[in-house]
Amino acid sequence: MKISDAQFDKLLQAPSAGELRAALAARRLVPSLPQASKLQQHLQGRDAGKPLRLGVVHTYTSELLDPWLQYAAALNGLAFDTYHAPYGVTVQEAAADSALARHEPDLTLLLLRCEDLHPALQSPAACIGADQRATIAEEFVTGLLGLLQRFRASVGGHILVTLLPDIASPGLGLYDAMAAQSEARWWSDIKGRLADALREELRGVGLLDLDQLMLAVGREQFIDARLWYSSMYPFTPEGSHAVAVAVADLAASLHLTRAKVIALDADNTLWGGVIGEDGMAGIALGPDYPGRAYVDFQKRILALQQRGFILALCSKNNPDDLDEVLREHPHQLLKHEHFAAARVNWVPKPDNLKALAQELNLGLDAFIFVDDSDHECAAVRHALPEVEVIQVPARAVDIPGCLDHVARLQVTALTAEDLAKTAMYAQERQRRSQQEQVAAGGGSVDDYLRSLAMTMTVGRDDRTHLPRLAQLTQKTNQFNLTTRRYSEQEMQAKIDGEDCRVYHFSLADSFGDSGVVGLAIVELRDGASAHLDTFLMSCRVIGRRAEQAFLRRIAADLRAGGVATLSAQYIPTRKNVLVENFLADNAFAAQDDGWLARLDDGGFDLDDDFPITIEGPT
Amino acid sequence: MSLFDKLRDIMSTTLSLPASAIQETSTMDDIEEWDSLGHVNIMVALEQAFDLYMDVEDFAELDSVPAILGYLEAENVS
Repeated sequence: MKISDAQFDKLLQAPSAGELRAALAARRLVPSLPQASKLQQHLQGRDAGKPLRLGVVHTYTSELLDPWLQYAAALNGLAFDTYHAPYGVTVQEAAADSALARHEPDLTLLLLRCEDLHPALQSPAACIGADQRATIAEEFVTGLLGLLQRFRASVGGHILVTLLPDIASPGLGLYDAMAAQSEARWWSDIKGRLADALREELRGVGLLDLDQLMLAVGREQFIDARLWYSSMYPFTPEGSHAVAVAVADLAASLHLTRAKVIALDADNTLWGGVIGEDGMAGIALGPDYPGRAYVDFQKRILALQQRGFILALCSKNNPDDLDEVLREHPHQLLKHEHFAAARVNWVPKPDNLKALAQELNLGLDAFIFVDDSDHECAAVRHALPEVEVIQVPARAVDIPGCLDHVARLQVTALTAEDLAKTAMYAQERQRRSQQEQVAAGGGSVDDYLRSLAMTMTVGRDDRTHLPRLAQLTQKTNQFNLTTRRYSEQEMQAKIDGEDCRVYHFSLADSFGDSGVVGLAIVELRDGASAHLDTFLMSCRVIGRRAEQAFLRRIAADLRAGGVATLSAQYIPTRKNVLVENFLADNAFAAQDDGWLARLDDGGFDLDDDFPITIEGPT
Repeated sequence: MSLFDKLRDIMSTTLSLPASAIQETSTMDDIEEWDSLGHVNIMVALEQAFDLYMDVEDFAELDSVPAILGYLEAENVS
């Protein structure tokens, strides 16, 4: 939808970039080019944004995307410092000393056209025989992968690959869907092969599917034939907008504080109406209008859980009313087991969010709060500015899509731990109730820990967990001695490095397995000394003495390799006060420039009745 | 707002210049930022602001403020 002058003046009043973004998304408004530039200048006049270095390599004109990229970045509180490779220079930019490499991009965007990558793709796809297609697809993917590996070796940061969709609709017209040599199916096959190869073989390189963006606006609204034939630039303003917003959203999800929790209101958010007043039969949730919209919104929320976000309830209701909907309503899709934590009471929502953050051991800046009420949204924005607030639109039909344009809900990788997260929080609830039982019986904390029958498995330099290990450095804020962030490729270099050891652990107990939750990186200096570059642990296993077990096993492993002293550092941040005494409490002595521990004087021995059995590293 | 004022607003926003950099007599040669890429952006911006669909052949002709003003007047935009 176009933005009228009156609407535009109102948008300029939005108090923050987040609220402006929400207002645009709610009405599906797409600014014109001058409007986009004005909004960007307006936003950056208030807040320059977090600077991010963007490198663009292209086989068609890319510079015309610039004003849109700047606008989309400003909407997310970012500011791109962009380098465009010279026209026609693609392979050369993959060299280690290229201008692109010297720009040191945080994000590299590759705008590629298939026929520039494989000569066979210059002929009309309809003329390529079915028997040649698999071969061409394979050659195309292998060739592109080779190019991407060279880029991977020469630039850090994330690399986003895009393939320009065909300018024209399929050569066989409407019959394409039926044809044995369907272009559309072949194209999906090529993209699928590329995505599989990237996932398995290349870290930190992702495919941004322009077809998905084109589908949302339509080919004729996405591709501008005039600009394409006259300037080799394919996109209409709407297409430029869609591409730039997708790139900036992914940049935001990679470079802003990660969102981890979606905290949901209930009445007029998960269903229409108020359960305490309208009752089970009165709320809108089911196969008719407007209940269908709420059912779809719940489906969308379940899909977001599959992206790795955990769900929490934060609502003002009588707990029994809400419980009845979650258990008994025939069309309610979100059940108790989907929520990692809940606050259903009459306490102000900012207080409940703080309590949820404490229970889940997460910072408030990991929260996205979703509520329909002006009052609640304003209260949370005011009291907890670090929480991202998404107001559910007033019209039911707009609700199912209301989280689709939240940048921090985009992900660039999914790990097994992401998908198992809610189950892990449920296990944590069971542990808490066991702890209360042991305490009620007069037992100590160690009695409780022993009752869990914990086994820690320590691993060393294990590439199979690479995405998770990098993710831990990105996500862990509280139990983290140095808060150094590493990308997957940096982590890989550390794992492969002769002078570096990367340890990790997982912790299993009678309620389940934590997955990989702890990481330590040790640099071997000369023969007898080593330095603890990183030592961190997911908040999920805090309070179970796992950190002591992990550190001691690392010390033993280093000692076995002839290391006599381990130096370490505590770098304070706003969030890691939890570990300020960790080194002092664990056999390290303060030095002028950090901390030092001797590994051979017994300081790292474990008591016989230590409550964790440790295995590895193997 | 006169047609020139509107054009000046669009051009200065698109080229990230102060309004004073755009004069009623300006041409592409006078303004460094008005290069070939800036020109395409100005054309796109004019189309959107005045709800036009311009011929690619016209792009090259519209290389000065007077030429653009003449074109807009001929198109009867307001």
